[in-house]
Amino acid sequence: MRLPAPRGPISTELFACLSGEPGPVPSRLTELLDALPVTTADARSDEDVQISLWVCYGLTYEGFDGVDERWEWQPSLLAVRGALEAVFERDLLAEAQVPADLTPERVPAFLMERCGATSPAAFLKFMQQEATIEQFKELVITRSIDALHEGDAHTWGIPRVNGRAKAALIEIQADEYGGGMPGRLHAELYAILMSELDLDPEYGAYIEQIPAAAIVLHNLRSFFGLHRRWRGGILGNLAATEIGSSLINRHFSEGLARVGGSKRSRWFYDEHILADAVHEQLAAHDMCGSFVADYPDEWDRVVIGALATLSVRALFARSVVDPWAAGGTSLRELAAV
Amino acid sequence: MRDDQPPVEITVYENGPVIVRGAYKLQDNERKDIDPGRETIALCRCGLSALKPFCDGNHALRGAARSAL
Repeated sequence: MRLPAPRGPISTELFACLSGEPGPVPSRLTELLDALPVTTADARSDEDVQISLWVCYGLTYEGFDGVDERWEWQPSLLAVRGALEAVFERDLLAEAQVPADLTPERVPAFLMERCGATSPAAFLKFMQQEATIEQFKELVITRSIDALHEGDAHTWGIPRVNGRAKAALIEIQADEYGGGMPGRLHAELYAILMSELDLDPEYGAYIEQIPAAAIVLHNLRSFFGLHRRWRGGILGNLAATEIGSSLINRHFSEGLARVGGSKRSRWFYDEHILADAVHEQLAAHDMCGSFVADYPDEWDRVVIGALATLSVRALFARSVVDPWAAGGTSLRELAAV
Repeated sequence: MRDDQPPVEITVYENGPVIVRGAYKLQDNERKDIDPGRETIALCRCGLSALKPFCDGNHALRGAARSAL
């Protein structure tokens, strides 16, 4: 995978650095990062911040052509990532307030209520009843940056928790990875969905066209997954992803069938209808419920993780629906070469 | 059940399905095997699933009535 095109001054400086030997970053980049708390109003939807974070995290997943692998643990690079994460965390927390009357015992029920009820109903109905095949393709493209790595960021949570929460997390993750059967991994089912729609399933193939509001879905998981202090957050993120997912995927499957999508193309959605009916119970009760009981000092992290996930999901839904309502596209225009 | 196998585990979730784990065998009322396609399964308990006997998350649409489960 090649490095993407920069989307602002930070990514311009950062990506130029990454083409060279691992070492210090230029002071120009450090100055830009120092000013970031003032220059970005909402890091969750900031194109320059999100594409830069995606590349920082990408070094930890599969890397980039021509980028020295040692950059992954280069202290100067970690400092860049830390500065980007600081504003990202600030803006995530601003949209994820734990209700004052919530108690740890009520966390599983709270997760089921909030995460199950806040799926953007109008968006789902539109996909089920009105979306064109071209709009389906757009949705599949924008979700690809997250879905082709489905499960991976949550796996980072496994060594960070123990006991019942770990067992439940592993039970969910085993399913995400197709029970260990090649070809059944959920990420591979997504690649099949893309191929069936004549799209390129290679990871990052469409990154230039994918807006920050979709990249943030993946960056959020990577952020929670890569920080032990956010181990509750990665569990909350997984719970918010699983709860209500059966209904979401049924709407997508029915909509795709309506516009002529093959049974094979709908496999990804159909698999999630049944799998996530199991996962949502395991995630809310066995995983988050156990974590809250066993790690009482960190119970609010689970809630913040779930609420932050719902907030970026709402952001993503708006980034798709608003341009469509105006008769346009949710994808970024490709720069003329 | 053989002695060397752990028992089948059936867990009832409040306002949710029944989750079944272990060496179970799933059959319809004519005793024909149903392939669950996964190891751990969720069985519908509210009658609203479109994919019975499996749960499809439809209980979430029951709103206030679900507290009866």
